Amino acid sequence: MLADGLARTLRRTGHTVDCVASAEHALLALDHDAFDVILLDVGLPGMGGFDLLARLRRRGNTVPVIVISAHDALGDRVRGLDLGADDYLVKPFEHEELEARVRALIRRRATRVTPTLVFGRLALDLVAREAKVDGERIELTPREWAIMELFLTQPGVALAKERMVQSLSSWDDPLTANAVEVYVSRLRAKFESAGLRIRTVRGFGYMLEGEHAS
Amino acid sequence: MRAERSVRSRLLVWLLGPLALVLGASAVLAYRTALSLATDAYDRSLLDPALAIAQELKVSDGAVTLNMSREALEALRVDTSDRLYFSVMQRGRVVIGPEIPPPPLAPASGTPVYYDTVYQREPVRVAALAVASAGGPVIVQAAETLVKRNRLVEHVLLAYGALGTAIFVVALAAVWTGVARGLAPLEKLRRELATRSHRDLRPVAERQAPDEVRPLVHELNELLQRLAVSMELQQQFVADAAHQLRTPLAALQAQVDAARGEPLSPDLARTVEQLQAATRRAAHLSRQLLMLAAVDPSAERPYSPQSTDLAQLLQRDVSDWVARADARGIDLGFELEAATVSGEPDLIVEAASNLLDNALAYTPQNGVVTLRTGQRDGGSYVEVEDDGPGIPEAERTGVFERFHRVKGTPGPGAGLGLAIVREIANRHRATVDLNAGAGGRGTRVTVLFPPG
Repeated sequence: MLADGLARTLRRTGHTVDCVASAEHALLALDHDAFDVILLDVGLPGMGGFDLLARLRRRGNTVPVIVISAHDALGDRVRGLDLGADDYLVKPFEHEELEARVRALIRRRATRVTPTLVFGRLALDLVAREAKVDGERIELTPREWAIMELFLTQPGVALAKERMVQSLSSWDDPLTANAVEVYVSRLRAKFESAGLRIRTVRGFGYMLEGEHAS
Repeated sequence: MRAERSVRSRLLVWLLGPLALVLGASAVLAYRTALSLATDAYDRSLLDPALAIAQELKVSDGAVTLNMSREALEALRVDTSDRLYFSVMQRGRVVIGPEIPPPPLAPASGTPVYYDTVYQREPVRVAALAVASAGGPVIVQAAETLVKRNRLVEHVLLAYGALGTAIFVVALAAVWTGVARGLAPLEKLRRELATRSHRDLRPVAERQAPDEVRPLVHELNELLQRLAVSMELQQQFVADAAHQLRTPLAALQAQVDAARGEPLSPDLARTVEQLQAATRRAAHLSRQLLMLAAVDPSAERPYSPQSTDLAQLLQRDVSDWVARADARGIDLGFELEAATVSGEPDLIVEAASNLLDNALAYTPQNGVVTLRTGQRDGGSYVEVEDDGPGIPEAERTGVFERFHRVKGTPGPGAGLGLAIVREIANRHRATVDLNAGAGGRGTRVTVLFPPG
C-alpha cells in the first residue's frame, strides 16, 4: 500500500517508477535496468533490506539508495548509512519530504557530471564561474559569487551569518558582518527580478528562497 | 488498629522498667542488711556497759547495791552521739537508775535480750541482762538513743541511692543513644527513599542494612523490581504499539498524497484534505509516543552524554524550523550565544524542537517566536519565547503532564510536547521553567542545564 501510493505520486511528478515486493525481485530488476534512485523499505519480506543494500554495494552498484524504515533508533540509521545508503527516511513521512530528498540525490549525481548549480531560474556554472538567469548572464563580484555558491551548494538551508563571514574571510583581508550585509543587499537587488529572495532569518543569517523553493 | 509506639519508647519501657524493679528490690535488701549489721554491732557494744554494771552488783539481804563510783558510772555513759541510760530491776521494780520500760520477756540468765522501746519520748534500744541472786533474778538494763544507728542506715541508703540513680541514668542514656544508633540505618534508608524520584526504581543497597532491617529492605527491593518490570512492560507496549502504527500510517499517508494529486470533486477534495490533516496528527502522535517511551526512565536507555555547544548544535535545524514558522506566518528569530553542556545532542535538539513546535502552534499569525541559548548562573540554557496568548499561572505546572492541553487552544498537538521536554530535562538533571514572556506577554520556557 505504501509502495503503491508513493509510486502514484512520484509518477505524477514526472518520475518513472518500478515497484517490486521483495529483495529478490529488486535484484532481478537491478540487473536489467539502470535506476536514478532506489527507495528501499527495510521491512521487506524475505531477504532483509539491509542485506540487499550490502549486496548492491559489494557488486559495486553506486545507485543512490534512500532507506525507508519504521525504526528511528540511531543504531538503525547509522547501520543503514554505514552499509552505503545515501539517505534515511523514517515512516511515516510527508511526500514533499521524500520528493525533496529524491530530487537532492538526483541533483547530487547530476552535478558530478555537469558542475552547474541550479536554483529556480538561476544557474551557476562552476567551471566557467558564470551566473545565468534564464540563460542571461549576471555579473557578480568574486565575493558575491562566493555567497551565491554557498547558498546553492546547500539549497533551502539557512546560512549562519557567522559562517558566511568565515567562508568569505579566507580571502586576504578579513571581513566584517556588516560587509556581508552589504553584499547581501547588493545580491538582493541583482536577483529580485529573477524571482529569488534572500530573506533574513532574525538573529541567525540568511536563507535563499525562490519561486520554486526546494 | 492502634498505631505502634516508637521503638525507642518500647525499648525504654522494657529495659528501664525491670531495671527499676531490680534496683528497688536491691535497695530494700541493702537497707535491711545494713540495718541488721548495724543493730548487731551496736547491740553488742551496748551489752558491754550492762555487763560491767552486772559485775559490780552486790545483793545482800535481798537488797541490791551497786559497788561502783559515780565517776566510773559516768565513764560508761560517755558516747559521742547517743545518750545512754542504765537501770537495775528486781522483782519487776526499778531499784537503781531511771525508769526504763521493762523488757517484753524476762531474759534468761546468761542470755541478753534486746528490744526497742520509748524512753522520755525518744525511741531507744535496750539491752537487758539477767543476773541470778538469792533474792530472785536481778535485771540490768542499758538503753541508748538511735542517733548513730540511724546515721549508719542513712549513709548506706544514700550511697546505695546514688549508685542506683547513676546506674539508671547511664542505662537511660545508653538505650537512648543505642536506639538512635541502631535505627540510624533506617533513617538513612528513609532519607534515600525520600529524595528519590517516583520513576527511580533502582533497588536499595541491601548490604549496608543491619541484619534486622535487611529482610525489610529485601522485600522492598522485590517490590521495586516487580514494579519496574511492570512499568517496563507497559513502556514497551506503548513503544511497540506506536511502532506498529508507523507502517500503516506511512501507507495511509502515501495513499492520501496520491489521492491529492488526482482530479477530485470539491467534496472529495475536502475529504482528502481532512484525511491528510488527520494522518499528520496520527503520525505526529506516534512519533511523540515513541520519543516519550525512549526517554522514559524505565526504558533503561543508557545515558551517554557528550560535551556540546548548544548554539552550534541547534544551528543544524534552523532551516527546518524557519520553514515551519513560515508555514504558519510567524517571525522566528534566533539569539544563539555559545553555551556548553554535557548531554545527549539528539535529545537536546528534540527538546528544543518540541518547545518550538509548541510556540509555533499556540502563537497566532504574525506572532514573534525566539529561540535562545546562553549561559546563566553558571549553567547553560535553551529558551523559547513567544508573544502568543500565554498560559494562565494556575495551569503552568499542569502543562507538563502527558496529554494535557490548555483548554480552548487550537492546534494539532496531543499535549505530549512539554512532557517530552520535561523527561529530557530530567535525564540531564536540567530544570524547566515556564513563565510569561517579556512584558508579561506570551510564554517563555527555559531549560536550564546544571553547570559542569
